Amino acid sequence: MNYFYPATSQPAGKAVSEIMWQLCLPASERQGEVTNRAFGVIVGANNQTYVCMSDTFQGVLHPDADSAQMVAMLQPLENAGHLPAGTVADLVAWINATRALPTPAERTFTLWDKFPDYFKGLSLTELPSEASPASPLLAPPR
Amino acid sequence: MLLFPPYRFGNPAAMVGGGVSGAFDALSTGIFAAISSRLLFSAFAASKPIRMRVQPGSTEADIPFASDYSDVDSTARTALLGSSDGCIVTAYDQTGLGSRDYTQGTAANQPSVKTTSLYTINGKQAFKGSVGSTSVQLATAGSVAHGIGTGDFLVSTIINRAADSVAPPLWAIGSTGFQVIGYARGFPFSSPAIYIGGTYNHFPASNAPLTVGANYVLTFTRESGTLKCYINGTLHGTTYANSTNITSDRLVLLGERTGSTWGGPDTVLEHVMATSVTNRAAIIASQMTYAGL
Repeated sequence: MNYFYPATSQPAGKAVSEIMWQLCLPASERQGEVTNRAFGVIVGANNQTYVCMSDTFQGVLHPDADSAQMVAMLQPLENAGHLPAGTVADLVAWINATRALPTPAERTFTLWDKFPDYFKGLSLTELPSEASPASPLLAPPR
Repeated sequence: MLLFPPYRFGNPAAMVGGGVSGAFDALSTGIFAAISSRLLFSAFAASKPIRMRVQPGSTEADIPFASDYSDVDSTARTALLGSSDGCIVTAYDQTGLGSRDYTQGTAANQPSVKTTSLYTINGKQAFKGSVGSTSVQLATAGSVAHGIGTGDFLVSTIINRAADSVAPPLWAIGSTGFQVIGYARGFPFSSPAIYIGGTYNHFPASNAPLTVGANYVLTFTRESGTLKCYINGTLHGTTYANSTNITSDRLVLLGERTGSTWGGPDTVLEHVMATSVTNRAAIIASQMTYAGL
């Protein structure tokens, strides 16, 4: 299933997508790779930004995956009470434990599964009608 | 039997003297973007047609042509993907006219080249859908000054209709909209449609001329102001005249959508766009041969 996570802004949505991909390929490890985001980011006609996330899309956690950017994004939300206490620490612990596993198969994970429940709860399974047409590319009239 | 000018209809091949010929070498009039698994223009012979990524994974590599230039090199592909699935990151434009490569930098939006087995049409490397997105697009990095204006154009694609219940492939040039979608059926459209300058032009002659599982060369043109749709070279329908000035990013071909966004899992083998219909019959003939039709 696809989910549409409403981000606070287009830069914020892109940052979410980029941070998720950086778990698979840190920017410091890139050697000409073109892929730089995990999920698509669209802006609806209601000016709401959505991150389009599949709940089956898999990545391979990079051995040098750095949790710093993810922590920088999530910790303020946890501090503000939006995320349950310990959410960030649990994710960091998972990253540190999983990235040490020897094979890509052991480090393969479903990105949606690591998306905190708080954000999952905000995500939509369909775009609201006021969001369409998102752009000429995405939503011709019915 | 239809007779066409003596262009090379089949696959590219080595020439006497060590050079190679591209399938479109004699068909270059007006072509401004062209991607394929085969060699279309001889000047592109030293380049690589497709960049792939391992899925799941982050390793990418450009895959060269096979030695006869009729497909991508299977050895290089296997070296990259092994037993894993694969995606297409970039289909490189073979025209040499500038930066018109079709690239998708978002992993979940990248079309698949292999999911358990390879996606092929007539045994050649094709691609379809994506591994996890409702919006499958390969797009150029920026707008392309294609110079269509109010003149003729041609968009022709080799596709395999995967299923009736799913959306066709989606193509784009520019950030806001040169799209090519193979075919439209079902809600919201029941016929092929082409979007130009804010207008949706439907081809009324159809409801279901495409058979699931079959290969087709689907061609849209504007000829002397009239929009036309060809299926395997046969005129399928003509819409009302539309001479909208396409300045940039303003030609969109539409298909069925899934949920809230466009895209989908029809399989695509080759795609060409031109600002001329001079070589329409020959381009279609060449593509039909490549598709095994």
